[in-house]
Amino acid sequence: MNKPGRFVTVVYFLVLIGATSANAAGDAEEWLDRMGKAVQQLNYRGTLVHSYHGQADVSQIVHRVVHGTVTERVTAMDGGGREIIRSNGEVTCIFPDQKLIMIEHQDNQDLDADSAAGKLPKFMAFDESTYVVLMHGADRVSGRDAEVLSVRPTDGYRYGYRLWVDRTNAMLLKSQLMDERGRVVEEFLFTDISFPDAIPVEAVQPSIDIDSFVWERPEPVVNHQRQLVDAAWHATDLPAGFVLAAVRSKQATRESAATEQLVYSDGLASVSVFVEVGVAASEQAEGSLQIGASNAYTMTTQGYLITAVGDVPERTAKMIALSVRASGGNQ
Amino acid sequence: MGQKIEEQLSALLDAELALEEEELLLRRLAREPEYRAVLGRYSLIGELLRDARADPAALQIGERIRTEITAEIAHTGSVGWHAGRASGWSKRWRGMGRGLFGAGIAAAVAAIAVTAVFNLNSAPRFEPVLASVEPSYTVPIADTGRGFIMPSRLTGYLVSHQEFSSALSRRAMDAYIVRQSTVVGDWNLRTIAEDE
Repeated sequence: MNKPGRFVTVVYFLVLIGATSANAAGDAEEWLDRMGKAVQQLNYRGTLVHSYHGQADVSQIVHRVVHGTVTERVTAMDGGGREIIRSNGEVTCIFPDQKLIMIEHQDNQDLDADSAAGKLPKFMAFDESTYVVLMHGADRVSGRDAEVLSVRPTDGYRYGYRLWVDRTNAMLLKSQLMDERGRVVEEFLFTDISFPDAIPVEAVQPSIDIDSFVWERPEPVVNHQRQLVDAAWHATDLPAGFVLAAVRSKQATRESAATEQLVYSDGLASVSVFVEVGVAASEQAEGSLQIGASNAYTMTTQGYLITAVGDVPERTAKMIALSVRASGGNQ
Repeated sequence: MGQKIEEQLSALLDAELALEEEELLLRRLAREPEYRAVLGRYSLIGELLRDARADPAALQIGERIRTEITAEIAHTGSVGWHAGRASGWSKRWRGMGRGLFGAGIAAAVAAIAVTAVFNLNSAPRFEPVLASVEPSYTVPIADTGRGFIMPSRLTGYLVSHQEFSSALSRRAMDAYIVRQSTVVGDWNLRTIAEDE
């Protein structure tokens, strides 16, 4: 082949490779987008196995969507059958072993499937400098055809993901959380899953008799969604890609001090920073806590209890918590 | 319970199962509480053997387990098949996971582990400041002997954070809250000065 001919061939293949790569990235993003919606918007019920640190927990998940309104019940299959029910802006945690029911309010009473999904970090909203998305072809999970994708972090301040997404409806069938070395630190797998057209309301109500249980309801709170610029606190040291995504304050009573919540996100992982004042000395702490693969770091400074919680490695939670300062130099 | 499934459970802990085998095993785990209980015991034993961070009591337990296993190997040679490829204690544990279940070691180790956990639970231990707070509600109490009781405040934080976390993260926190015995975390209390 003469020189011009060879040059044209090389350019042709470079263009082809570039186009294929761009298509693959586009496909991956499309799958991730569809997956994010499917998890929230589909009716489904299944058995979910959560493996972490050599343990396996099994839960039954019932996810019901009626006219866009989501109700969900998570029931542990081991032990006393603890349950979490999300409905009407409330999260109800039922602990049969303690005959206890705990209720937490969430912000919007009338969240529908679309707006709820819109509030969550999306699997395609992140910056390309912080994650790389790859497609790995087809596989089968629990008897269903799946596409395998991975989302790999470019540094050690966030986790990576390997995802098995149903080829028919984009439901997430299996996921693995990976550390910076690519080691699996947590895994979720639906060992069976079905997608009924309709789910009866009884399926998302408590599955046990709770008449004799003690109900613990926090005092009514007032949630104030606030402008980002109004944040009374801010983190001065953030990993690349993390930005302030939301600020709100919760106030239990008119007289009590508000708890400020700052939400930092890189588009995929998120960290909430809670700042409380007036916390009794006996309740103040310094240290870290691992919650599955998520981490929390708490510290007390000048009477303020500062806690960072998120689906990030410990170093990230700690880095953010330690850098929190009062805006305007009040502290 | 057959030896094959025991070997598979051990391999699962070591992340050495093939993908299809892992999926099948997790499906069986979903159906069989007995397997989950065994997996938990193996995990605990492995943790005791590996965990150099544990307090001196736990290290002594690990030593006792090692002694038992060494004696059993000397006596029966039942775990000798893996000795050639294993080096270091972690490798030995990995191999032991496969070999011990057909022998009497399992019973000995389990007995030690159960006794150990009992002793750890009954022994005086460091109580984090937060544990002394009477929570208005609690999420699962740790059963590792680490003695952590999650305070109501942190539970509230988790629920509040879930509103802004990804679906995957929410599932992980759900799993933590509904777990009967939370063993995934304890507060590692320390001063900031010590860290720096």
